[in-house]
Amino acid sequence: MCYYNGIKVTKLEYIELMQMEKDIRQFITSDMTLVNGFNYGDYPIIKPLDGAKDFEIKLAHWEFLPEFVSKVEDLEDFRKKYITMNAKGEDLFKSRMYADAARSRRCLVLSSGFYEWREYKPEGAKKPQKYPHYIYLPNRAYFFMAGIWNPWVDQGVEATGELIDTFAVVTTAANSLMAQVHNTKMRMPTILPEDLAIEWLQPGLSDERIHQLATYQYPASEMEAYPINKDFRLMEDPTERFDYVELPALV
Amino acid sequence: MQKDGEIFTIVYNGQQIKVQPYTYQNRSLFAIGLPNKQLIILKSEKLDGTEFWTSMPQGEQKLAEHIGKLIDDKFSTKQQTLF
Repeated sequence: MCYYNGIKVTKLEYIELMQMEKDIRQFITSDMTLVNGFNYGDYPIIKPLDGAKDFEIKLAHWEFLPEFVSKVEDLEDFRKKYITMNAKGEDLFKSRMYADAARSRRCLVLSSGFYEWREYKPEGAKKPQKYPHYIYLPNRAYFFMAGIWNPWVDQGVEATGELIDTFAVVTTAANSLMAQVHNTKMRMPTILPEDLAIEWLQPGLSDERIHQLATYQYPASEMEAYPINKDFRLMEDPTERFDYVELPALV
Repeated sequence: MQKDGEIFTIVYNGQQIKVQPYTYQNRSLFAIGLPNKQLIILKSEKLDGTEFWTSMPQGEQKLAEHIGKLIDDKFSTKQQTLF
């Protein structure tokens, strides 16, 4: 007798579900058209195996959950105090929540592009409006963001005992492109070129080197951004360009 | 994994969310575009033969049941309007 998601199923059904789960992981990784790609959620991360000689791709929960949150029922309160989708690269070692993960549980977050909001006050408007933008690397279909992860088990009333991986994307100061797009917070994800991405996964890095990598600023000249529809979350292709007459072009 | 029809929407927590039906190994799967994540749900069978909605990968059982019911409701409403 076996359990899938905490529910008793036959052994045959269990094997079939587990096999399907394995098969669709590749699909989930490669076809993320329904994922909005900003904040929260499940997302593929790359974790080192065997001293970083090998790697695995896993779906993980996009929100770093520390040990002191012991059950799902406590998440609401936790989220009122902390937002842990992102971890500020400059402060990794100042944070009791992130320091240990920065030293020993670093991962890469696989991305094909991300979304960010630009604030602009059109002429005649009473207050600034938010315009979503899609940001990507024109020469790379996929790229790596630095991440840190933490294992987490729900110990709540309806817990299944399943161990899940949770993660935060490491962020750094905005480059010149991102400073125009994310012009309220002036931040961007820490995007790492391949050689630095591989290094990020290596064990035994010094705190100083981790800090350097965590605050790496990907060159603006290798990134592009354009505005998208404010209802992009409901669109078949959320990355479709949408130009707003009142919005000045990025420079 | 093949797409099995057009994307449709359901209302979840007051928000319209997109659902893409798929088939895989003769089973129907639904990719759900929640505002904060993508979820795949499907129907499985308990030991007593009754069906239940579940998530794939595991870990979102309650959400799968909630959204699965919305999909069931959507299809039953659709069917009713045909007659």
